[in-house]
Amino acid sequence: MAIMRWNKTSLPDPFDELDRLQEEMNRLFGLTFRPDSTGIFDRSEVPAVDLLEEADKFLVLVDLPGIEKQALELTAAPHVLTLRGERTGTKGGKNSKSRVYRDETWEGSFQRTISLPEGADVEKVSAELNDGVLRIEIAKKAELKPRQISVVAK
Amino acid sequence: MSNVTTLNPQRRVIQPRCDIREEEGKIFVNLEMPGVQKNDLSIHVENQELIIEGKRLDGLEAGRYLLRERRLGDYRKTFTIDDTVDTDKIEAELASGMVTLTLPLKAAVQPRQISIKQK
Repeated sequence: MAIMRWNKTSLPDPFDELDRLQEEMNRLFGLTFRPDSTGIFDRSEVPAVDLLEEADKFLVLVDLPGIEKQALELTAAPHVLTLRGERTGTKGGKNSKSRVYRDETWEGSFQRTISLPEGADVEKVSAELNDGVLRIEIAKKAELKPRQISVVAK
Repeated sequence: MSNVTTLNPQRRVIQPRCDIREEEGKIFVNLEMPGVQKNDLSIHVENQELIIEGKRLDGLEAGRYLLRERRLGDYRKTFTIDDTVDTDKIEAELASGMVTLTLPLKAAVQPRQISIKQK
């Protein structure tokens, strides 16, 4: 597996350092809205992810245009969900006769790890891929679900 | 710019990322449109403009967002095409959120092999 994709902008960018510093400060003051999902496997070109909390479950939505079910691999560990996949064949293969006018999409493998909030039950995960959108539902542990308490009048 | 649009003007419009390449007398265009179904995709040619519009039915979910990176909205992309493209023979395909358009070039603009006679 290609761990990292070759990055076109490989020259050191002075703003990267500023971004990193800002990230660090945000984390220090608890201002960050993202769970710690950055790691060595994460690249700039990873699919966009939404993570939501609903009353009885957590919902993860990932945009994966042009990726087939067979090319996806989803693994769940306590507190961490890992999505691996590969997108191939969308660019029509390597053909020396073709002339490329625009090249904005990416091809290759990716990996994304998503930290799950406390209370996500990784034993109960279901995933569905429709029209290029992956929908993963993770049940909440029973003790975190809202519970109706009946009031008894005496 | 064309004013004819089937999209809801209230919604955000996203320009999908695309690839364009030419191969063997045809132009291939790939567009990333996750969340669009076949019935909500409209492709039309008008005044030398190729307009691709896709309505995205899924919107914001009801829950509390802990992480939000996806851009939600309808898709719209326009390309100017000249008369080298045979507009009657444009084909489109939608598979798992990826649109592939095939635009054949007219025979007149394709390179033609000319045989050389030797005397």
